Parts: sequence; structure tokens; C-alpha cells
Amino acid sequence: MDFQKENISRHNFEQCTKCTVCTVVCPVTPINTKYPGPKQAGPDGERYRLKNPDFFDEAFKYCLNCKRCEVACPSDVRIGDLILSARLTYSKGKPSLRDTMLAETDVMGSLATLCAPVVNASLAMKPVKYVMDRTLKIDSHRQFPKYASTKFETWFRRHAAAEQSKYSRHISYFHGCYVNYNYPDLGKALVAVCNALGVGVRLLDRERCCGVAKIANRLVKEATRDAEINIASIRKALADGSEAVVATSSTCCFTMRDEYHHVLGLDNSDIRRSVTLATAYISKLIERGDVRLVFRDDYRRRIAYHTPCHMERMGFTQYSVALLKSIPGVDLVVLNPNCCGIAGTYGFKKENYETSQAIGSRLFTEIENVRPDFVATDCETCKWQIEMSTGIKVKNPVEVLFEALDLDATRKANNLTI
Amino acid sequence: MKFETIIIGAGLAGVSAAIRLAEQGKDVALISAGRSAMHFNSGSLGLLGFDNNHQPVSSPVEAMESMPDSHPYKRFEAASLTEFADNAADLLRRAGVKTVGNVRENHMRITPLGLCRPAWLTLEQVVTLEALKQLERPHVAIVGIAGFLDFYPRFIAAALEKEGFRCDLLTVDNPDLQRLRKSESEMRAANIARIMEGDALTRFGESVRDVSRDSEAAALILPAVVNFDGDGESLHLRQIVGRDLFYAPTMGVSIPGIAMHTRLMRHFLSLGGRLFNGHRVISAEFNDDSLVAVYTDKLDDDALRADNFIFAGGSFFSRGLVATPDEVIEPIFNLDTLAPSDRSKWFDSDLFGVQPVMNSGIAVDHTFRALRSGVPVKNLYAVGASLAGADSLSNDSGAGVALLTAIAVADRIIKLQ
Repeated sequence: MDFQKENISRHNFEQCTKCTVCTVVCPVTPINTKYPGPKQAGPDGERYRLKNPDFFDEAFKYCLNCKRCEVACPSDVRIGDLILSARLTYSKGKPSLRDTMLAETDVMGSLATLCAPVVNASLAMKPVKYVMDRTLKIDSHRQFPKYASTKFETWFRRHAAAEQSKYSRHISYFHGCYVNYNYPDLGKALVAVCNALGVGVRLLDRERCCGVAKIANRLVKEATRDAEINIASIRKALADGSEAVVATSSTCCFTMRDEYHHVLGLDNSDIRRSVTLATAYISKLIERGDVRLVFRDDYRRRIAYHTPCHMERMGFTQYSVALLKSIPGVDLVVLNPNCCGIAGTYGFKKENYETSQAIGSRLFTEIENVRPDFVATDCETCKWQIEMSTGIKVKNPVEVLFEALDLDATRKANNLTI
Repeated sequence: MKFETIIIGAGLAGVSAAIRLAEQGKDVALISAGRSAMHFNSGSLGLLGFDNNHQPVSSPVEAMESMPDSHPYKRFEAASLTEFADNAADLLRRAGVKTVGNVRENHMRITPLGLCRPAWLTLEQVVTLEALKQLERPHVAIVGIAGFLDFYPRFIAAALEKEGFRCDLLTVDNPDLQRLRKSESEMRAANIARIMEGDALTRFGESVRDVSRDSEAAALILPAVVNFDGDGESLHLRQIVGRDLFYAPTMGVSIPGIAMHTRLMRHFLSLGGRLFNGHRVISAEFNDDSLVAVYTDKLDDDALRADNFIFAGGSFFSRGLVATPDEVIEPIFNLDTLAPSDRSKWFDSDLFGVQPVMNSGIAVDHTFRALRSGVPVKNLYAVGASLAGADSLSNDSGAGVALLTAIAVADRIIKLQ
């Protein structure tokens, strides 16, 4: 038996050399002293928890799950996974009504889109915000993303689905809750860009929320159920001829590629490589010489790119950066890698609001100094946080492509007669 | 993805080579598998602190001649070494890392454990014996932080008292520090530095000023827990305190080293360099004697291609080298390594003695091209701590080997293109 290979506990924790680099990069530790820090909460504490679960500390809930500790770790210890797994395994008590509501993005989204104008108006009203703040402990400073009155899926089936079969190659689009319930325009942009490149777009037979919010709020059973449905749908889509399953949200993509296996313990090994981000997929098409992009002559923008934490962890940053850089009229500034502080549902919780804004302050100041026309980023919750905190518009790189491309000329360059 | 040059490893060697190439307008990608040993650097860099008889070196240029032929420095002509060393200091300066010192004469740094050790370059504002000797009187005050376990004023005083300094020992505390102390074990230099900005920095300065009011010291020595992101903080502090200030390195993760990493990395990015952060190179594709592409653990089957590659993967800590039970290997490319063949000869039974295994590393030709099955790989160079023949620990030569070999290789690539 090879002891060095066989004797490895979950998340690689024995590889920790106690170097403390994780603590250097943790956005929470210096701001919220209730949080014991990634080294203590992660590999240090894991040794004790394995012997006695009483060493678990409910203060681990202050971890953002940003995984910046994992990116920084020179020893490949999955520190964030250790902390998250400890929360899922040892935390006592049921998730609160508020946490469940924030996590159930599909249920809340489906209800809200039914009567979007009323919901949007209510969520923006001061008395409603006050009541939510007091009863649910959802911080009243937060602006909820507006709900769309028509879901992306509905729009796609009505207006786009039919013509997709005309294309010779296809991807399946994992739109995620945000595109479906709040921002269908991003999904529409993805369909338009892919189509101009000669790629047809399909939807999965059944798409559920990727599960990131449920995992963060300890709804493991519900997250696992959703994940299993997604994995099955992705398998079917690939079997039906989709060459990849593409997301526009870095966190959805990261969750399906890594958290399903690392945190939920599901086997996604057969589909993992086929799940990718839109900018990664398009970059590879360009590199292989499969497609050509023709940009508008009159597109001139100064753009600041913010790297979302999960994008950094996934390692896909350079795909989005390269794509944005390749647009002739774009003056791109890549911002320093700092967490924006929202971390999905984390920043919506009243107890985290101040921490959340303090963490983001470096990023906000940098953005204000760069004075871009807008910020580009691949994560929707980073978008809400940056828009709320700086007043500067944030777009997904796919939207930027959509704006900058001469779609007709691109179709011609790709010899499309459809 | 395709680049002109790909550099594997983003420690001092990798990022310096990357900067050198990017400054010449080259298209460079830097692959970083976790943070580097720079995070533990004291703010002083060694080129040759001790010779092979473990005697302190006063002039690195002169002592170089006594080094064995296997040492990487011996691949430089004696005259060019001085030039490369000065180029290295200039490169650091362009990145905003301002240092004092030169290769002709070492100066003395002061370690957190209270020893004076020879150094080549030291960050401005980090304490050196020479700087203290220029004070108008040999009297300093060393200010510790209450509850901070990585800095002991008594240790620093021990070093300085031997040199004839009078040392006042002071302790500073205030509500900001008390708040940090709630998480005792996490009260490390990096976390203190993170709150040392804006009003908290001003309050810290005022607390230091108040606690040192009665001291007649010519200068204050503080632990290096400020100056994380830029120069402004320390200047601001000096103004508030109202007298000469020096920073002494702390144990554990170290702010001067982190500041060096941050500035070098920002400089590289500002030159348009491309960073693959948190990627570990796991395999490679060769075509005869040339390296074609590398693959990382994050990019599935997407190849990273380049005309030239520089391996700056470091030594055992960063797993550029791996010691198996019976050999020292380079795990990515399976490059040739030099190490004592018999494991029993790897170690000296005196823990603090010279450990021969620390001399092991990658074998290279005279232009630092890495050897593979005895043949140089045409476009793969090895630099820094993974090179064979350099025991950076016993010679205190890690930074010098990293910077000089990185610059030599970058210049060669520029010349050949």
C-alpha cells in the first residue's frame, strides 16, 4: 500500500504546512473578529473536529465561501471546502425562514415573476424594506434585483427555440436563476452571439438552480436534489449532441464543476469538462479557428474587469479578459483581485451587511478611481453589489460582446446563410 | 491559449523574469500555484550572506570566487555578475520596491530573533544596523504591540545592545488593537496591517507617539505591520509620530515580503502581463527536444502554448522539487536532477548543519536550459530555487539566485527573438 497516496483525508487537509497565507488573503478575518479565520476554521480545526465534533464553531457562518484561501494556498489544501463541509456536517439547528427564502431562488423567482411589477415595487418600498429588516433580518440597505415579467425560458420557447435546429452545431445553455427570473436580456444576448457564430442554443430538459445558495444556507438535501436533476439533464443534453453546457454565471459554472463533487459528494466526473463558461467556450472556438468575430467600428468603451471570487477559483479569468481585450475599441483595466463582499446571499443578511460593505470598499474605491464607462464581470451578485455601492453600471462580458459585435457581418464572416 | 513566453511559478524568480520580458513588450503568461515564499521574506534580500565555510560574507562579489563550480553564479562571468545584480535592484525599483544596499558590500539586517545577518538589499524603511549607526546618538526605542505574538522587542534589543545601542522597550495598545486581539491566534502581522489605514492608522500613530513621549531615543523601531499596499501609510505614520521610524521584520507571514510580492505582481499586470492565478501545471507536451505546451489543473484539456518556457517552480516548499523516499525529482517535466545518490548522504545529523540535500535541484546547461535525459530542452529554462548547486539556506543566497538567473534567462530569450 502506498501510504502517501492512500492516506489522504478529505479536502487535502494534511497537506497544510500552517504557513498562514490563507489568513493573509481572507477578506473577512481582519474585519469581523468573531470569525476565527481560514486556517483555524479550516485545516487546524479539522484535526480536532475529526476527534470531537464539539470543536465546531457556529462562527464559521461568517466565512464567505469565496475560496480566495484556496487560490492562495501553496499546498493545494481546499480550505474553503473544509469550512463549508464542517458547516454542513456539524452545524446545529435548522436554517431559518429567511435563509430558506433567500436560498430557494427557483421558488421565489417563479412566484415573483407571476406578478413582477407588484413585487418589484413592493421590494423597493421603504416600509416593506423596514419590515423585512426587522422580521426577516434582511438588511434594508439592500436593493433587490428586479424580477422580469416574462421568464427567460418562456421567451426562449416562444421566440428563439424554433430556429435553433437550423444550426449544425449546438450548445445547451444553463441560464441560471438570475437570467431566468431577473435578467432575460443576458440570455437573449448569449443566444444572439452564439447564433452569429453559427452555434445553435438549446435549453436543458430540466434546469434547477445550481444550488449555490442552498449549499451556503445548509439546505443540503434540497441542493443535492437539484444537483442530481441538473447532472441528469446535462448528461442527456450531451448525449443528444450538445457539444458543451454553457453558463453565463461564473458561480453556477463553478458550483456544477467543483462544489457538486467536493462539497455534495456527487459524481460529476463524466460531465465536468463539458460544463463551461460562455467566455471560455467562445475563446476556444476562436482559438481553434472555428469562428470569426467582426466588431463594430464605432464601439469605444473604457471597461474595468472585476474578477469574481469563484471565477478566480475556477481559473477561467483569462478567458473573459482575453475576449474583452480582443475588442478593438475597448480600453480594458483589470482590477486588482479583491472580493466585492456580497458572496451571494451572505450580504443580504442583516448581520453581515457592514462586513460585506467593508470587504468591498477597496474594490469600490479602485473602480471609482479607474472611472470606467462600466464594469464587466461574470457574476450576477458581484453586479448587484458593485452597482449598489458605486452607482456604476455592471455588465456580463457576453453582453459586452453582444454590444460590440457587428452581428450581421459576423454571420457573414462565418458563412451563415440561415 | 498561445503566448510568446510562459513562466511557471510566480515567486521572486518567476515574477522578475515575467517583468523583464513584459517590460520589453513581450507577451508573457505567468502561472502561479499558490502564494510564494516571498510572503515570509523579512524585507531583506541575500545574494551571498555566508560562504561555504559558513563564514559571514562582507563583499559578495569577492566571495563569489570561492564558490564551487556547480553553483549557478559560476555560470556568470565575474564582471557581469555586478551588472546583473545592479539590474536586479533597478528592476525592483521600477516595480516600486525601493531598496538600499549593493553587491559590492553587504550590510547588516536584524532578524526577528535578534541576530545581525549580512544582506544585499533591504527595503527602504526596514531597519539595518548601518542606518541606525547614522543616528545622532546610539539610542532607540523598540515599540511592541500588546498581544502580538510575532514580535519581541527584547530580542531586537539583544542584537542592538551588543552593538552599543541603548534600547528603550515600550508597548503600544489602543482600542483598535484590542478589537483585533479578540481573535488572539489571528492577530498576525497581515491582519494588523489590514486595519492600518485611514483613521485607524492615525490613531495607531498617536498611540505610538504617546507611549514614546518620555523616551529620549533618536529613533523608534516598530514591528513591520503597516505599509501593506503603498508608501503612503508609513510616511503618514512618521509625520504623526514626529521622529525617525524604522520597521523591524516580524516572524511568520511578513509585511515587507508581502508588499514586495504585491508591488511586483501589480507592476507585471500593469505591463499587460497575463496571470493564471491558482493554477498548478500538471502535465506537458514535448516535440523532440522542444516543449510545446503545458496543461494546468484548472483548464481541462486546454493547452497553454508558447515559444519559450521558464520553469521557476521553486524548491521543496512549493513542490518545484519533490523528495521521494529515494530520489529528488522534478514532477512536471521529469527533468534531470542532481542530488546525492544515496539517501543517507542527504542529511547531516546536526540539524543546524549544512544539509547536502538542499543543494539538489534541476540540472541545466550553461544558458540555464533544463536537461531532460541528458539533452537540453531547446526552449525550457530553469531559474531560481529549483536549480541544482545552490543551497540558499546555508549561503543566504535565495534572492540573488532567483533574481540573477531570472534576468539572465529573460535577457537571453529577448536576444534570441
